[in-house]
Amino acid sequence: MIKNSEPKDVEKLTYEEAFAELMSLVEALESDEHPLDETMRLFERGQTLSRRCTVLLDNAELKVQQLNGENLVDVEIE
Amino acid sequence: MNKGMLANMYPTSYLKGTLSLSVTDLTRYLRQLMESDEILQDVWVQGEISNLTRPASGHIYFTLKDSGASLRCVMWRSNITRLKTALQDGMAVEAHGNINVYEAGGQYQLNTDSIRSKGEGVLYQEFIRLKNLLEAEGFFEVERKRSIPEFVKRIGIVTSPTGAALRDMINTLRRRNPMLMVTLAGSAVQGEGAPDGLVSAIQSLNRLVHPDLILLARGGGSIEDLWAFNDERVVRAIVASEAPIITGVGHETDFTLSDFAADLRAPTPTAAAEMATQVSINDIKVQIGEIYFQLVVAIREIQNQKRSEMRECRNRLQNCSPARRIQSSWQGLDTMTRRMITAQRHRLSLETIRLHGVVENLSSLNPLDVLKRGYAVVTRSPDNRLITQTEQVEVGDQLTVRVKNGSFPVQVSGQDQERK
Repeated sequence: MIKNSEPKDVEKLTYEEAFAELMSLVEALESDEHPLDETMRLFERGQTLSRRCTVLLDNAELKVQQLNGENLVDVEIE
Repeated sequence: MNKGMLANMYPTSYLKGTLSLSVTDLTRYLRQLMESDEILQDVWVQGEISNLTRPASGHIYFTLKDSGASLRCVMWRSNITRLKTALQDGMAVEAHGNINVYEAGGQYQLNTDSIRSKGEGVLYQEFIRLKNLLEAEGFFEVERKRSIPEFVKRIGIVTSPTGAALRDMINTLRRRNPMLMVTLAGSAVQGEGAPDGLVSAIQSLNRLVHPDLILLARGGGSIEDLWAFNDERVVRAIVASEAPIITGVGHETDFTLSDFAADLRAPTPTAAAEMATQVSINDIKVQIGEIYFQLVVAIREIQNQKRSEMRECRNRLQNCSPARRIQSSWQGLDTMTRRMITAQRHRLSLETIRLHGVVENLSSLNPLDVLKRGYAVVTRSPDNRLITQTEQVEVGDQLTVRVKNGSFPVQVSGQDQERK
């Protein structure tokens, strides 16, 4: 999965996407089926992914919407 | 029967009017009569409070009235602490307790242990009826309840859009996990339209938003205020909900039928929001840290493995190199030389020892050396023949004895018998 698809720009990943890729990447590294230069590449991407996750966690802001009939409207509740 | 009871206490002459009872006797009799009556010892009485007084003793005295009669009531201090609402004159209530007699005042009174607002009893009856009905349908079975998901992304909230409960829940969710998406489906939470509003809010959330979880909540209030959460329609909507529901209705002590039907009951709205976020953002951060650590360990292990493979290969290569072979030839030569020298040295010292031995033997053969140790050489005087055997001498023979530093003559004076 990691090998075959062109990796997406980390900055555009949602938290879930980044987290899922990070997990599969750790598993790939632990299975040790890859050439050395590729494991280095995987490791670097893993670093970027975990940074992305941390940034998303640090900047997260609770999103609140209200159901208005059939529509969702953003609301602010302090 | 009462007559029999009285007859047991007093002689019949009192009953026939020939003798009179004292007031105390009669009052005590009335007291015993009332206190032995099962109904009067465990009774709910409804009426309106009047003449409410609270003396410094802390006890409460009041009168329960209706259009036809009045009843003196007393409530002791120890029971007052259990009252949910403060009593006031004019309040319609239901009081529970037992009837006793205050002998000094000649009054019977309700010794009150609890008071609820009027209508509460009816509501409670209805509550029990509905609870039994829904219980029979299996709505409250533990097996029916869904588990609350550990990781939640979208949470639906059903409550009043203006209530404090909403603010409490939002603040708790924001603090615990700001990654959440929250959808509010507002509804009245008390009054006539409340049950329908709650039902349609639950249904709309499930149909339009598909949340992972719904919080159904309301702040504290009287039992009437919370009544919508005992409504059969609301209970059925909870059971039918696609998303699991956590209720947080009223305070710790309030239990509604919605609470029984919910997948999880929280004591308050805030607690409901906490239960909805079992995994907080801090937990997630810790998890990310752990995964990063795993990543570092994995890459380090790969590097270590490659490094040791490489080292092993290098060793094998070095073993095959000609330099190594020459080195080993040199070493062989050195070893041989060393062995040769050692052997030679060994041989030399062996020869030296042997030589010493020979010299020593030689000196032990010198006969003069023997004389040094005290031996003597005996010869016959005329012919100098060496005497080695007794047969060689006769009594009277002249012999010469030679010792270390010279010789002297001797004569044989006798012959020993012992011969060999």
